[in-house]
Amino acid sequence: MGKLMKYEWKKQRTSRMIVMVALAVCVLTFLGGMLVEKDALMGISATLLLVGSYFVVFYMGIESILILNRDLKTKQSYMIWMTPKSVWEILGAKFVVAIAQMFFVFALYAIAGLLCFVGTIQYVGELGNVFAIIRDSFIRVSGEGQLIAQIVWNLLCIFVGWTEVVMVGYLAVIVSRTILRDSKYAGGISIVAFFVITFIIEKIYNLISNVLPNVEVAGNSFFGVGYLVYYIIICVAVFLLSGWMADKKLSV
Amino acid sequence: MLEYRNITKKFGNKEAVKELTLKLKKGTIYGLLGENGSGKTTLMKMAAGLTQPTEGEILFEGHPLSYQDKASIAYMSTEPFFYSYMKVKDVEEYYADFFEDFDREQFRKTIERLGLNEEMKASAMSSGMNAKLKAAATLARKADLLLLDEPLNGVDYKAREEIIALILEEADENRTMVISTHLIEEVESFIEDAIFIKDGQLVDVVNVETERMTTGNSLAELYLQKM
Repeated sequence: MGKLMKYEWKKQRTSRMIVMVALAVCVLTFLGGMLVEKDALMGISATLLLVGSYFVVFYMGIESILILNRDLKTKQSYMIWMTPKSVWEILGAKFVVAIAQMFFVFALYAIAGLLCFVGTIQYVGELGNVFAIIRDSFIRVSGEGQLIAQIVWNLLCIFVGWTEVVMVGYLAVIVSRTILRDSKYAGGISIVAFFVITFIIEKIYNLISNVLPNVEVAGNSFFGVGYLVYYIIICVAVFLLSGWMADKKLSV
Repeated sequence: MLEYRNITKKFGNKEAVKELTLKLKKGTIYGLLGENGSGKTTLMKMAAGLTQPTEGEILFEGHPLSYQDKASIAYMSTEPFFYSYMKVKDVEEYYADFFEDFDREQFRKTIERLGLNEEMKASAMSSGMNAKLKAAATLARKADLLLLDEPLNGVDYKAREEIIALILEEADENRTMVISTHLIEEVESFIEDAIFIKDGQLVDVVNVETERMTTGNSLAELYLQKM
């Protein structure tokens, strides 16, 4: 599966390069603004970083779905499907790489944000005081000893939730290309299929979450245990369904 | 070597292949002949594992065809299929990574002979150059079964001759080749058995040499009779 992942990883290298260059520009602009004492310049680059981090991580996930659709449409899908690998390895490699790329981009933004943050603290002075104030305010909201657990839990739930969205996107493309094959409407139909499947999944979650007790983890976290368990089950179910369709019904 | 048993393939309501049964022998060069839309590509894609039959069974070396058999089956599609970011050297690396039977040295020699170089980008190539690259990569695999779908399609005369020469060099008694084409006269000299397909059904399998000796018919004449 490692080799399959290697080639899946290469497909989005242009986007990754653009993200890296944009990040470098933002960080340099921010630090430059600091050096010449231009607060506006620092503000603009910090805002771009913040907005970009939100948008780009989601874009990387969506782009991987678009690439699957393009590969099936242009027959570049032959490349991966003619290898002596099972459909589970092929889809598994695609999913793992899609998620890994989002992590990678997120990590880049985290590093860039940290650089700017440390720069700001140095610029303002009183590094230790600022950290202490931030920490105290988090603890006031979340409770003593809960801060790290809460951050990890929320990030885990967001990660599983977003993984589920990407997997549903893959399933929607496979369903659409199975039924419509090379039709010019297949791309559009896959978007409709994505929203229909997502609507059904959310509807079921709403029904279940009203019945099950809301067990919370890590104090006042946004997500209960039920959320995580439900979306992990959905991820497994969507993966199995995608694999079965790709193996038995899809003509690549 | 390869056996189609009562194969039907449907795309929606359309039957691309209808209850087809066919057995291919080891070490033979087959010509797969038929009109556009007769089911030739679907038949090849099923053997290459790119689409599954709706009904029936495909056997490879006596067992039901599985994904592991792709290690012994090389398929060249009629469409360009290399990833758009790939250069010739990336194609070489890809085939070497996935196919143990891929001969890198032979690939490099063939590339040079065909006038390509490793820095050329597949997506920027003309259809003739792309056909050469596809043929070089596919034929550098020492696969037991080679499926070549329209290898001479959209290719100029010189490139066509070069691809035919490559095919002939790779043919031996242990390898089975299936070549689909409309250019009957181009392949007549080296096709051993001709498989005629019409509307997704097998019309006939004919040994070209025997037919020529007994009736005096050329492959082109036979095609006109059968179709």
